[in-house]
Amino acid sequence: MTLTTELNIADPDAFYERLIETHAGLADAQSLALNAKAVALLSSLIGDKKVLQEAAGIAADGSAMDNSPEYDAKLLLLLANHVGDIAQLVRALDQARAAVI
Amino acid sequence: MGGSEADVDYQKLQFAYRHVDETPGHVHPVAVVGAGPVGLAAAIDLAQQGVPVVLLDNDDTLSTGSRAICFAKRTLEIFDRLGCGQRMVDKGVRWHVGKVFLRDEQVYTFDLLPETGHRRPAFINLQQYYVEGYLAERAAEFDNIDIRWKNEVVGVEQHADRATLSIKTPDGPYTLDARYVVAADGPRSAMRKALGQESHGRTFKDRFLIADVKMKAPFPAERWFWFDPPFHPNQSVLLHRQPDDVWRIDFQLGWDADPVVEKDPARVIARIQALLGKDVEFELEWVSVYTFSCLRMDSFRHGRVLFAGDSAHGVSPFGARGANSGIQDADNLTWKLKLVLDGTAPDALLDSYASEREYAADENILNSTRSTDFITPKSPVSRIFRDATLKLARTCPFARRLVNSGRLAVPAVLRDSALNTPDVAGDTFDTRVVPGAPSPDAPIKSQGRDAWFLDRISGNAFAGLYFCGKNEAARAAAQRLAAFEYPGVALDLLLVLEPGASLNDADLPEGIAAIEDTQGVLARRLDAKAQSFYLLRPDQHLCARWRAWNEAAAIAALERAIGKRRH
Repeated sequence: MTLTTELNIADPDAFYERLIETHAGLADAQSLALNAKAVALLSSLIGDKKVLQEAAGIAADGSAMDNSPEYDAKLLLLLANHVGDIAQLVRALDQARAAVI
Repeated sequence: MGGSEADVDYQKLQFAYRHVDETPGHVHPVAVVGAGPVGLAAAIDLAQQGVPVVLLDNDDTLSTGSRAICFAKRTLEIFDRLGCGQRMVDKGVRWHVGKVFLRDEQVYTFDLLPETGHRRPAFINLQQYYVEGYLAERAAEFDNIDIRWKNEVVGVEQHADRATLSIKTPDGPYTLDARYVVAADGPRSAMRKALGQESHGRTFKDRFLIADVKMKAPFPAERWFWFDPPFHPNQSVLLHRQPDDVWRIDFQLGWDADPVVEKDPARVIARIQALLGKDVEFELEWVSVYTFSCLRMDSFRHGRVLFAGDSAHGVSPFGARGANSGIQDADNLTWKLKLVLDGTAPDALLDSYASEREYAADENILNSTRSTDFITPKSPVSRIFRDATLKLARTCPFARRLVNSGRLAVPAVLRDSALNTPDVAGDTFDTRVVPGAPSPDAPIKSQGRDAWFLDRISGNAFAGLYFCGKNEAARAAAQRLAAFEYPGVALDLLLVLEPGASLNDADLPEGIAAIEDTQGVLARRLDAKAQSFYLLRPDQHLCARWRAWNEAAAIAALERAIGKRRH
């Protein structure tokens, strides 16, 4: 399987709004932890090493492995688009939020 | 017309106050409050249907400053219906391409109207004073529009069958009775206050600077949007071209900016020079610092008073959804008022104005709120996602669809309107033009001449479209259709012929005309097949469709569309 970089989410604006809402009321550190957790959840959902490597490569943008908040954010967006299904995405986001509060 | 138009300085026009004496006991059919774009559009649309209108304005001038500048395709189509679309398009700057930049790098470009077969462009940019000026001149052509400048409404009293407005003038106060009142008096609506109503929603903690400058610039007629550009770090900037070599530059300033200090010309000029470089010569045309809210009234109808435009709803400027949605309010309202005033439709039809346009306002507010949240992130994590999205947009198509520098105004699809007739079970249509959607445009031939479909159905009437098959006897179809009529309702019945076919209208029964779908575009956009029949409202929204002609069903659908039948 290869990573989907074409739009794969039915209502991208609604997804983006939901993504930002998931962070409502969280401290910055919690938000970063949420993103890391969501990346882990989506990664296991996808479960395809090649796809995950490809996404990580795009998120790192040519530079060496990156642990910046923006790297996690990019990776989360890439994986979320690959998953596509909004119900699965909302479940992963809610689970990630529950894990950090 | 023509060359002299550029000579009118609409910002300096002053309209004379006239003393009027109201005849005691006289009740006007409609009073429109506010001679801005929405009030003028409503007045013209009523007048061209034969409804006399009193148009009241508290001032005696048009818009000062360019203000609303982006007028969308649907709005231009409505202006066409009002008889002044061509002037707007001739003067306006057409555009359909937008570019998005992150820092100094272009992340992607988009095209709003990639297909042909539409008379009007996706957008024109035109200063609000031109739009108001052209509308005011169009309004002046109607004997049945009574414009009263410097007539300030200060109170309203509702009765069972009319409303009484208390009006302040230079000659003192008077009262005026009207069966219905259209309140198009802007964001600080005096009508809204007079009725004790308010708008609810979100105010954004951010300030923006509009600088309109006159210059000869090498930029193309495109919408350019920068996130975090080097010349204005950490904020956004929007650049747009207007007619007369005027450019709109919109700088995000942040909430802490001092609105008075920021208007200081020296400061504004420095900001512009940071963008253009020190060598470009320009003059400041108009400077304004603004904040905005996304809000609306809970109900657009209060008894005899119908709120339209900014008085009813407000949005952020990203997406050009303010003036455009206001014009669509007028478009939705006036045909309903006409039918109710005639006694053809029940007063309840006006409730559908409120529900349809409240739905549209919610859609506009949702889009505009999302754009604003993307452009001006409210938290560090929101900012991280925005920047991540922009960086991904360079290489990943999906991320371009997440970038939100404004979702530009498209008309609402009134999908759930009670005026629509649901498709009959078994009838399937493969098109985005569902009942409730505005009709698409298409190139056609009418009476042997090239024309546009929307222009052909712009006569304030319901339109019935019957698609003739290749071998179908068109005259026989016309005879069947001719039975379709309804007392008090103007109906424009059209036989749509396949490419290459023609028929002389003189050979058809009275009230029926033929058009040729010259390139098959109309059939494609509506997913029409032979014998399909479509019913369109006077505001050109589709309200019912069938795969086969059924007179009883068509009459029932028409009754539903004028509020005479409920589900």
